[in-house]
Amino acid sequence: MSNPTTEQKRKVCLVGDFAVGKTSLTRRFVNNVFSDKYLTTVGVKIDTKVVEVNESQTAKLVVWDIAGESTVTSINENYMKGLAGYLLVADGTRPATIETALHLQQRTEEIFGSLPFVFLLNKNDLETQWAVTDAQEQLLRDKGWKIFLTSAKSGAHVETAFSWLAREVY
Amino acid sequence: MSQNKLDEIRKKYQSSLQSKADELEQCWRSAESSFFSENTVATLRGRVHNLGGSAGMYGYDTVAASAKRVESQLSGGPEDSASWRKQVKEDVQQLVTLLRDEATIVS
Amino acid sequence: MSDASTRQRIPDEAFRHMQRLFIERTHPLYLRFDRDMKLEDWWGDSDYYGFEPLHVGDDADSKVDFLVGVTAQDELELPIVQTPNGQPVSIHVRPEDTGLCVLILDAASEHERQTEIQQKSNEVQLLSKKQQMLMEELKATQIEVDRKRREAEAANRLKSEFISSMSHEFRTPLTSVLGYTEILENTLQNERSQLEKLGAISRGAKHLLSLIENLLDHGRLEDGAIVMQVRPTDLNALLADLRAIFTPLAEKKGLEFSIQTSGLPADRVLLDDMRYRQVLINLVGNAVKFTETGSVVARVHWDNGQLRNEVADTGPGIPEAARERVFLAFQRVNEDQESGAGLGLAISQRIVRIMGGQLVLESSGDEGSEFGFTIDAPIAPDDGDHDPASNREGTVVTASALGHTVLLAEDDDDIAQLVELVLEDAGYRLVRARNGREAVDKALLEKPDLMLMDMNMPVVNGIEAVRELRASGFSSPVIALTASASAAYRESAIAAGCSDYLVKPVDLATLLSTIAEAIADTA
Repeated sequence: MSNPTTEQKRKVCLVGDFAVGKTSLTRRFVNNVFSDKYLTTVGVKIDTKVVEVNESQTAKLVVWDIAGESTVTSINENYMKGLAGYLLVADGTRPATIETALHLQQRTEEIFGSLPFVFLLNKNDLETQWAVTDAQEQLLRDKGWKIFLTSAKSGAHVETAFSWLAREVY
Repeated sequence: MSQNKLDEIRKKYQSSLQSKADELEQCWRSAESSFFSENTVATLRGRVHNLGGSAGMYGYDTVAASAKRVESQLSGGPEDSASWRKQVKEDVQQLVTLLRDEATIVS
Repeated sequence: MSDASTRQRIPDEAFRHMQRLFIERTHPLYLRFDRDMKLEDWWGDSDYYGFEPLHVGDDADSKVDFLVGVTAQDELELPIVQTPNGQPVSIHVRPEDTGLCVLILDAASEHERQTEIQQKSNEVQLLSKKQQMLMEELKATQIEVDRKRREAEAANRLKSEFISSMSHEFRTPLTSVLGYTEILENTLQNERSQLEKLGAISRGAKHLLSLIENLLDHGRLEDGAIVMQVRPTDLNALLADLRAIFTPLAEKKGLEFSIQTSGLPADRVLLDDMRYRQVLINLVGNAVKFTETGSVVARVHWDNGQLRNEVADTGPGIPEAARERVFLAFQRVNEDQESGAGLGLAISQRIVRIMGGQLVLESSGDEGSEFGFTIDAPIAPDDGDHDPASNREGTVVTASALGHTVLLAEDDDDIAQLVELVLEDAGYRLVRARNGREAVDKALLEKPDLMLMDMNMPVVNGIEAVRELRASGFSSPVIALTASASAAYRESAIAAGCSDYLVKPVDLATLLSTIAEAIADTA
C-alpha cells in the first residue's frame, strides 16, 4: 500500500564535537544559507532534502543534526537508531576535534555495525587558523576514508559530501 | 664625594633588581617553553652567573647564595627528569622572589 | 503503589483537572502503528506539530520523518527533537503486542531551558580554547621579537666595531703621510709652487684625520667605552687657546669672532678639559664654517658650579625640517653640504650628556643659529700646584696609583661600575673592555700597568684572552676575576698566564691591596 509518488527515504546523522559546524553544514546543504553566529543545538534537528541518486532517480535524505558530544551517549544512541549512514565532522582549526571524530567513528561502528560514512574536515575557509598538519591529514587519508575539506561558510564541497553519502546509502 | 657616588651606584643597582627579576623570569619561561634547549639554558645560566657575581659585590649575600645554587643546578642539567625541572623551577622562583623583595626595601 | 490505587486516592474531579492541565501544556499526540508500520489510529492535535493530514493505513516512513529506519520492535526515548515545521518535541516510542505506540509531547520550554545553559557552557569552552591559542601565539611572538632585538643589537655592535677597527687602520698611514709632508715642507722652503701642492696634501690629510678621529669617537661613545677624565682646569687659559685657534680663521673669512665671558672663577674647575674643548671647537668650527658674513660669538658664563655655554652665528640657519635631526649620527643638514661625515654634533651631544648636560639648538632662522649647553664645573679642591698641560693622562690621588692605568675586562656593567668607581677614586686611570677580544685589543693598544680580567666573558673568554696576550708579549700582571672557585679552574687560569686570582664576590679592600701589591712587584 505504499505511496508510489513518495521517494525512498534514508536517515543519515551528523556526529562530531560541539561547535565543529554540523548545524551550519546542514543549513548550507538544505537551505543554502550560512550564519557566523554560533547557536548550540540541543537534542536533535531533523531536516529533509531531495537528492539525485543517479540520472533517473531521486531520493529523500532525512538529516539528523545531533547535538555535539565527545562520545556516543545513550541518548545519542537513541537518536541515531535506524541510521543508514553518517557524516563525521571535525573542525580544522581545533585538532582535538579530529580525535573526537575518530573516537565517535569507532563507537558508532561498535553499536550500529559497519555503515557508510564520510569524514568532513570543516571550516576550511579559516586558512590562517587552520591547525591540521600535513602529517595529520595523511594519517586520516591512510585510513582509506572518504574525506572532504569543507566550508559551510563558502559552501565548498558541502553538496558533494552529502551527495556522495546519499549514493552510498541507496 | 666618592661616598655619595658609591651610594648612587648602589641605589642604581638596587633599582635594577626589579628588572633583573623580570629578565630572569623571562629567561626561565623561554627555557621551559623550549623544553630546556641548550641555548635557553645557557642564557639562563649566564644571567644567574652574572647575578651571583654582582649581588655579592653589592652586599646582597642571600641573593648571591641563591644564584650560586641555581647556577650549579643548571650546570648539572638539563636533565630530562621532572624532579630536576621542579627543583630548578622552585629555586629560580625563590631567587626571583628574593630579588623582588630586595628591590622593594627602602634603604 | 499500583495505578489503580493512585486512581482511587485522587477524586475524579481532581484527576480530570490534572488530565486537562497535562493536555493543555504538552499537546500530546498519540499514534499507533501495526506490525508493518501502517498507521492504525491516532489521537491528538496533529496540526499543532505540522503533520500532513493523517490517514489510516499511511506508511510510517512516508508520513513521519523521525520514524525512518524505526521498526515495530524498537523502544526509544528521544527527549528533544526539532523539525523545521514544528515545535521541539519529545518522542516516546514503545512496542506493543499489536504494533508500535508513539507518543509526542511538546518540549518547547525544556528545549529553551537547556539551550540557554548549553549555549553558555559551550561558548565559555570555545573562548578558553581561543584564549589558550592566543597566549601561545603571544609567547611565540615574544620569542621572535627577542630574537630580532638581539640580532639588531649584534648588528649594531658589529657596525661600531667595524668603524672603530677601520678607523684605526686609516689613522696610522695618514699620520705618516702627514709626518712626511711636514718633513718635505721643511726641506722645500724655497720651492713655492711645490710648497703649495704640499700644503694641499697636508690640508687634505689633516681633514681626513679629523674625520677619522670623529668616527673613532663615535664608535667609542656608542659602546659607552669613553670614560670622562675630570681634572682641575683653568677655564681662562682654555678659552684663550680657543680664541687663538679661531681668530685667524674668522679673520680670513672677514667674520667678527669674540668670546664673551662672565663670572669665571679665578680658581680652577673640575671638568674633562679635552672633551669640553672638543665640544667648543666643534660648535665654533661649524659656526665659522657656515657663516659667510657677520659674526660668531661664544658666550661662557659660570655660576655656582654650573658652566653655561652659548655659540651664536649670523649664518644661514638650519632649515626647520632638519632641526630635529641635527644631533643624529651621519646626518648632514644639506645633502650638498661640502664636507664632514655628519658626526660632529652627534659626538658633541653625547659628550655633553656624559658631562651631565644637554646640547640644545636654542634658535635658528634667517638671522643665524644659536647652540647652548650647561655642564657641571665645580671648583676644584685645592690639592697642590698642577700644570694642566702636563697632566694629560689622568688624576693623581694616591701615591701608589700615580699615573697607573688599569684595564678592566668585565662584561657585567653592574660590577664594572663599582670597580671603576673604587679604582678611579683610588687614583687609577681606568680603561674598560667588555669581552675577551676587546680586552686583548685594548691591552695591546693602551699598554695598561695591570689588567683585571673576568674569566667568563663573551666572544673570547678570559683564559683564551690571557693566553693570547702572553703570546703577544704582554707582560703586565693580569688578575683573574671569576665566580668559579674550583682549584682546577684556578690552575688553568694561572697556566694561561694569570698572575693572581680573585673569586667573586670580591671584597673591594682586598681588590685594592691585591692591585697595589701586583703593581709594586713589577716596579
